[in-house]
Amino acid sequence: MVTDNREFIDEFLVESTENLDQLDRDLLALEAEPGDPQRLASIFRTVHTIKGNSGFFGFSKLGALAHSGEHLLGRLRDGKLSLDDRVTGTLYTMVDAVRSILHSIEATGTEGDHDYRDLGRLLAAVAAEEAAEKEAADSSVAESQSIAVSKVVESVTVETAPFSSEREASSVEPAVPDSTTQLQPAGLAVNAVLPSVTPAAPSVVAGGSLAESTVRVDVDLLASVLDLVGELVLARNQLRSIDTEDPAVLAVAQRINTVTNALQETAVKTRMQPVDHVFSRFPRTVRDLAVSCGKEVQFSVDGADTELDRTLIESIRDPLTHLIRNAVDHGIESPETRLAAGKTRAGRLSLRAFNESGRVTIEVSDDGGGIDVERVREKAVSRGLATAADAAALPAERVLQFIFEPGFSTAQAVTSVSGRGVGMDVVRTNIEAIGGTVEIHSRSGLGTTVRVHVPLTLAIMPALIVHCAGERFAVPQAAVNELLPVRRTAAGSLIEGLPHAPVMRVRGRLVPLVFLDSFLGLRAETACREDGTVVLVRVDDREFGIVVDGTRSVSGGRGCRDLLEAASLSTIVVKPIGGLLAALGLYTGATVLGDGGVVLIVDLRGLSRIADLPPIEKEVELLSDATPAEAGDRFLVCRTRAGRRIALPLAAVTRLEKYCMAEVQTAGQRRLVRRGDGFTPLHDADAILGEVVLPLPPDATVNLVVVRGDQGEHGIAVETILDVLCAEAPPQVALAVIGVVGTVALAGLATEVLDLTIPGVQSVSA
Amino acid sequence: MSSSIVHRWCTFRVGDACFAVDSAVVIEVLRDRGLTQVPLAARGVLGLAHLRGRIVPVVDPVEILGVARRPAGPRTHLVMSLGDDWYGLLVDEMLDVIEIPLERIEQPTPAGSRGDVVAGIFAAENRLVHLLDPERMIQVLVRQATHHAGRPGGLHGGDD
Repeated sequence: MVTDNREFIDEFLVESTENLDQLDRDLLALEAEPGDPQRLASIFRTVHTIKGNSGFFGFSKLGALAHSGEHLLGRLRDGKLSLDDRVTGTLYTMVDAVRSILHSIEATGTEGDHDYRDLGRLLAAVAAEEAAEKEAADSSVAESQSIAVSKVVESVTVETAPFSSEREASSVEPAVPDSTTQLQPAGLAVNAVLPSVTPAAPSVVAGGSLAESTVRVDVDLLASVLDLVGELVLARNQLRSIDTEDPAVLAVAQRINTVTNALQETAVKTRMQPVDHVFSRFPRTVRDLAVSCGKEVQFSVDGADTELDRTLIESIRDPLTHLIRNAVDHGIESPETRLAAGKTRAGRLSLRAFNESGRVTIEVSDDGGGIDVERVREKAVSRGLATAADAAALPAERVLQFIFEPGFSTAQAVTSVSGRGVGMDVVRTNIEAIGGTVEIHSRSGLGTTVRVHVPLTLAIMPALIVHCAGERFAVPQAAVNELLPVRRTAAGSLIEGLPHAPVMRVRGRLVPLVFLDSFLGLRAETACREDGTVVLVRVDDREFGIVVDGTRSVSGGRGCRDLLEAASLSTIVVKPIGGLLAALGLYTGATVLGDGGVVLIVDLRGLSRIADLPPIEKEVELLSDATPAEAGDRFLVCRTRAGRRIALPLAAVTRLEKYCMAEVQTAGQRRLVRRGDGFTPLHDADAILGEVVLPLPPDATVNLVVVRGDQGEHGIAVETILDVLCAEAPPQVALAVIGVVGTVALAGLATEVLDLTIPGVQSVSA
Repeated sequence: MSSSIVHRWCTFRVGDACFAVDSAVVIEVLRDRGLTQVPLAARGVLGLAHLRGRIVPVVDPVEILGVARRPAGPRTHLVMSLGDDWYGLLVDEMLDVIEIPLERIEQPTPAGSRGDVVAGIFAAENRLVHLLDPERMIQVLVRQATHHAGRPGGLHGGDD
């Protein structure tokens, strides 16, 4: 009667898996605080429950294992045994064994062929040791230790095998070895006594029961609800486009509109799940990995309650796992190396998630050795990804992007943990497949930060519908900065540049353009050079304009009809287009508009990549007519409130803006100002210089110099902007002046150059 | 009655030849209706249809199957569920649903298999039915698409 039980078994599996995750967390917490009776009681209860349930279903191996575990925990609880590395190691091994039995049950309905009696005996043996006798390192104890460690090691390499979507039951079960040698991955030494790892406080999980405030809902049911909401949104759009004066109809339509919006927002929330779902396993992963690599790692997790669409959460698990493994295996140095370099013995690894302008950002940050940019440069050349000349001219940021190319591993040794060179490109592919981006920042000797941006949800988004050669396309509104007409006017807004590299001047910036009609092959030659609409978009660090049909072409040549717009805003339901078309890299999906027409959604990132548009650095060169070497000699001179005259390199400046102090918001330690779609961190120039000034009243205006650093854009608040001047000589480096990197002669005056690397933003302290 | 495994197959005509897909994957049969063009898609992709809230890419199998299409005439889209996606196949004419016992299915010749897209052949009374593996067909198209898109300048200066 296995089929009758199947439903109950499935529930048992789901609950037990959750319980095991909790067990992992509890064990980690217990390691940090061995005396915590609550933790111990919780662990005991969990194991007891598993034992009881396995008896109910007749899972004898599981029951026996849980029984041995319960016995060991009982002795701990009664104080007859003290918690040491051997005991915790054994308990972790038990947890892994239980997990693999559960996998087997899920896959085959049976517990599998593996024999866990040796593990049972080990648990009994460890339980039988009195607390005082732990230093009697007799051979059987030493062997069981190394078995425990190797089991941990093997479970690490096997369980987190990169991107294996199918986990065969057999591959996850740890083999009880005859000799311990075959389990050790190449080049790793396993000590007989487990080195002490100082785990930082793992992600906080409330011990209280959420049972009363949550319900379990079948995933398919939720999907149906969302589909229906999507259809309602479409119908609402159609209703909105009906022309009527009838007040009764208008009133109802308005009400339907309001309710639909609210329903849509709420429905989308049901898909949201905290990233803790993925993060919760990592403390254990890091611990095991650190042990097997012989490193010491202090791991901190921040923002685990940040929410993300359920369907995206699973997609980030593998990429994040890979990044974390990279950080521990390659990023963080061995304790000896670190001490020799004047660093703390334990490396710091931080995992952070936070919301940022309509998307979720996840950061994996380590303070390890960083990535050697020059080695990446060499490797890029030797792999034929760039010529030596081109590679030499690329800035460090761009060079690091090569790491995402397939087969590009600069790891010295390929360990079984990572370094096969298949990692980073798969990470990027997987993240981009869900509409996200990944960027990498590194400072040699100081550490590496990998930042993953993921959209909150893919289901419903505001979009701009544009026309092109009789077809319609959707552009995600979040990426659109503005719309401009293409017209020759005295004020300028004309298309310049070479035919194959058109650009347009927008408020002093030169923006590269893509003519959508010729790019997509809809017209042999673009019809939009004289009359079109430019959709200015920003994607990652690229800003460019997509030229689509202008109003005149859309309205069919009747120039005086301004009523018909070149582009219209619409909230669309994103539908997948299938693997075949997604492979083109041009479209992220399609949608059905209110009139029933199917419209493709343009993949802006793919478009910019295929059109090979230059990133922003080149734009700065275009801006000045001088050769690249001279562009760096221009400085923006400002005065701070404390009266300091400072210079900022013009190359780093992207915009000058003005804000009222009331618009500045505070989030934790940071001050932010809202610009367009996102928030930009704000730093007072005086604060950087270490000057003390009184805070400004809310009605005061502040001049903001928006600069671009490797952490994104920052705003530097100054009192007045004075001038843009050319340096008369190269800047001289200044040391030991707070907030100043050098002095430069401008218009005969020695002016201090502001330090734009903002401290406190770089790293996240645990 | 034999105890052999029997599957139901939906047969249809493309050009002069007769093909079939397992009826288990067939969602619906639609009249040829307006499709939304997909610029720069592979040659076999005719466009997008919309069925019950889902976007259905419609493909033309003539090139993959190596048959010559009969010109003009009303055509039909055979909508199939393959993995997570729905795809439409442009066919000339829908024929019967037939039952084929497993042991009566013969292996195609290496050339005849068209890269494993034709997975088997069944000799019916008056015609030869080529049994298709539609998932394989989509795989072949995907490979063509990625190859096409990956070449530098391939989308513009390619061989179309």
